[in-house]
Amino acid sequence: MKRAWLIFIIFCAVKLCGQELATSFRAVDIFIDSGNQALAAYQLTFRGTNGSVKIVGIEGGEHSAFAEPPYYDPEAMQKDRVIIAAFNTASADQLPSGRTRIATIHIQMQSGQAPAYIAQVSAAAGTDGKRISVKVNLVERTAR
Amino acid sequence: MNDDQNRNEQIPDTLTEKLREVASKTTILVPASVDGAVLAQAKAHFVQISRERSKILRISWLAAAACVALLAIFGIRHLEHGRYERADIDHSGHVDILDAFALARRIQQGSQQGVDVNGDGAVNKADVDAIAAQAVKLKRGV
Repeated sequence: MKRAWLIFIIFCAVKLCGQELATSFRAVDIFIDSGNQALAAYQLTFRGTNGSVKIVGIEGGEHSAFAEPPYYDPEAMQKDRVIIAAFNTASADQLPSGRTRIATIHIQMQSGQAPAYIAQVSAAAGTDGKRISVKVNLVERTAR
Repeated sequence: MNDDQNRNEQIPDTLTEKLREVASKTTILVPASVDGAVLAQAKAHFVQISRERSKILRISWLAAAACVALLAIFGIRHLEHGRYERADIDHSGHVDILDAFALARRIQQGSQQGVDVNGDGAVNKADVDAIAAQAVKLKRGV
C-alpha cells in the first residue's frame, strides 16, 4: 500500500514538473502602416497581457531601412514588456511606405495558454522628423 | 553703636601678620585617601568630558557623512535630470526615438548644433545611441 502511494506521489510530481516545463515558442511580426508617407522612425511598446508571455528575442524588419534589430532595453528579455524603436535618415525613396513589417518579436509561452499581447505606437515620423499617424498590427507567424 | 561693634569685630593687624607667618611656614597635610578620592573624581570628570567630546565628534562625522551622501544623491539626480533634459532634442517634454532621429539628422547634415548627451566631448553616433537607449529604457515597476 505504501509503495503504491509513493508511486502515485512520484507520478504526480513528474506530471506537474512536465506541465511547468511545457512551453512553446512563437514569433510575432509587427507591421506598421504609414499610408502613403515614408516611415523614417517609430517607437512602440509591445506587451503580453495574460502573464504567460516572455520575450526571448527581437529581430529587424523586412525592409532594408529597418532590417537591423531595433533599439530595445536588454532588461526586457524574459519579461512581458518591451519598448522597441528605430529610425533611418535615408531619403524617402529608400524608406518603406504603406504596410511593412518593422520587427519580429520572439516569445516563449506556457503551453495551453492562448497568446495575448498588444502593441502601442508612441511615436512615428517621416523624413523631416515630423510626427505622422500610423497604424500597427501584430501577426503571429505560422510555421513555414 | 554700630561703629564700635565693627571696630571690635576687625582682626588687629598684628594678629593678621602673625597668622600669615604661621600659615606660610606650616605645611597642610592632606590624608592620602582624600587625595586619592579627589584625584579619582577629577579623572572621572575629565573622562566624562572626553567621552562627551568624542560623542559630539562622532555625531559631527555622521552628520557630515549624511550631508555628503545627500549631496551625492541629489547631485546624481540633478546630473541625470540634466542629461535627460539635454536628450530631449525636440523639446517635446519627453525623450523618445524622435530625439535620436533629430540628432542623427543634424549630424548627417553637418550641423554644429548637436548636443553632447554622453559628455564625452564629441557629438556623434554615440550620443544618438545614448538618446535611443534612454528612449527604450524600461522603467522599474511599470
